[in-house]
Amino acid sequence: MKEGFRQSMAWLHTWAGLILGWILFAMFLTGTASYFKPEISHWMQPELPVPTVSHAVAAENAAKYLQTVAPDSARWFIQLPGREDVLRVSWAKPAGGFETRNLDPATGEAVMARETRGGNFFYRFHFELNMPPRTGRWVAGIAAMVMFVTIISGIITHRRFFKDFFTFRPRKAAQRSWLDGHNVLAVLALPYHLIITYTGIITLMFLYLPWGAEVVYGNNRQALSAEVFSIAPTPPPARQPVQLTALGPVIAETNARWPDKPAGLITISAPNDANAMIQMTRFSDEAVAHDRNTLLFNGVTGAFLSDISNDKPVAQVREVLYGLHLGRFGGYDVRGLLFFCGLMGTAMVGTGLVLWTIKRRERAETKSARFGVALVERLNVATILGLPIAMAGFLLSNRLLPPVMDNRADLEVWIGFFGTWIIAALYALWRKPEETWRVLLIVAPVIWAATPLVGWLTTGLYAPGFDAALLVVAVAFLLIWRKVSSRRSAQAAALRPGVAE
Amino acid sequence: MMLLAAALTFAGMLGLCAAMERHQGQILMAQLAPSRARLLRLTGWLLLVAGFAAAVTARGWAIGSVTWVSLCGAAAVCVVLLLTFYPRLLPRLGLLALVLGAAAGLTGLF
Repeated sequence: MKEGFRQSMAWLHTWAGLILGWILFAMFLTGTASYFKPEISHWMQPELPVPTVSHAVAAENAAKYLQTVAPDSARWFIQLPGREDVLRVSWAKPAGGFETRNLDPATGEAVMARETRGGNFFYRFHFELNMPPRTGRWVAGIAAMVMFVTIISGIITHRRFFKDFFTFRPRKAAQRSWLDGHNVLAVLALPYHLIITYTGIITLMFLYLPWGAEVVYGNNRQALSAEVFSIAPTPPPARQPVQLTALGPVIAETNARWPDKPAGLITISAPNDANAMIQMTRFSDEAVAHDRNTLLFNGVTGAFLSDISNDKPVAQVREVLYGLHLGRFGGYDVRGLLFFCGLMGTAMVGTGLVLWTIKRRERAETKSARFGVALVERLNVATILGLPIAMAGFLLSNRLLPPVMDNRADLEVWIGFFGTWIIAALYALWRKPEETWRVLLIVAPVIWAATPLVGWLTTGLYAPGFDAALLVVAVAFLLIWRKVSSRRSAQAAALRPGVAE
Repeated sequence: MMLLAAALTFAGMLGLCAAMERHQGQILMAQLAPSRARLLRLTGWLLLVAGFAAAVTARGWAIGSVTWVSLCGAAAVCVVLLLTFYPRLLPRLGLLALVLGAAAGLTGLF
């Protein structure tokens, strides 16, 4: 019975991992990149000025700008400079949707920065896969649930969990060393993989299991948001025009109540209306919990109304789980560690996919089995190398496309990211894997090194730390290429008949 | 303080690795008596716990715990890579880690 159970877990692990492996690889890689979402966005808009004024001045300037462009809007957002170093305003459009502008904090004028989705593209791709939001989140959610099953079945299948803890034998036969690598990547960061997968599913739990909330709150989503997410329900406009109060005193009072960390976001509902409300929000990054603290002010008088921060236990549990997934806590050292673990997870999925082909390449007897192995080998190259190349293509297109052009943000995505990916994938599907692994392993370092170089040529040394990181990735791919080439030529030399070296 | 946590965790993982029969030959070039191996394993665990204490001291309970878990993984990966490619270096690196970590902790630099 025990043998049967382990065998069926092994079967489950293999097939669950394979069918969704390519999607999971993409989710892992774009998710890991998203740890540096603000830095990526910052690099992709080099025209943005460095903030030099205080938050209070920046907020007043933003409010002045919003008064001129959208005095009758139902809702304003002012995002103050933080990790992303930018003053950004958004307002609700009468027909629906929002419009966003980057402002110069010192003058309150709109800054013409090149239109781009920035780091948000990788972030949303991670859980929406560039599909319509509901569909994408369902696909990502199912993939994450299968990932969780794959991890558990992998743990059960792994016979020598503790004995093989530190074992990695790269010089043995291919199947042994790839399996060792897969095991090491999985086991050593197992807490991370389990937590990141579970918290990822939890993040969208109201989408997958809405019925509990529906029973308690019915259709009243606002009430749910208020209790769980500490989002204040605000009254709709009263259609009575009243001058919005000055923001300066509101900010001063907020700073008095929060001396340690300032507000990062100002939400003004029904501005220039009798029912105007001002919410000062900050996200704590001194705790794992993605705590959202909000102070509510009357928008007409500027009087403090209430502190909406929610410390009910259930809400706190959700904040901690969400915060664990976002990983926005701590400084760069903590984020670097999380990034490293994310890369390990990505490599765990990648090595698993490769392992599937290595195990079956020799053993494939029937025509359909050989076709399956050939297809999986090609899809592996297309994803494991194609996606990183596409990510560099996205960054490179940001520098190559003219700063001012129509649909620029969309073109970066469709040409820079998907265009590059499709070309690499078509090449990987068309030619033999022996060739495509090596060729794309040369393309990867070239495109990853070209990105900062083209950046220097077009915009100067704008973000040297980020550029250095891109070069490190290029070097890493170069080292992998060298390893793969030397192994291939060693194998080829061994197969050459008769010649004594 | 975080650097001290990293050093202690690395040394701890190294201790646990060296206490395993399978790896003693690679690292220490000798097999240890079972009592010695047990002592080494205990030391490894104690160093890991000390690393946890250092991490929590540096960043508080919440961020410290999460960081230490990630540190354990990263430290173990370092041990595995060194074990595979430069096993003879490991004892000296372990000592170096402890010395550097102690220096960092005492001077309060990191």
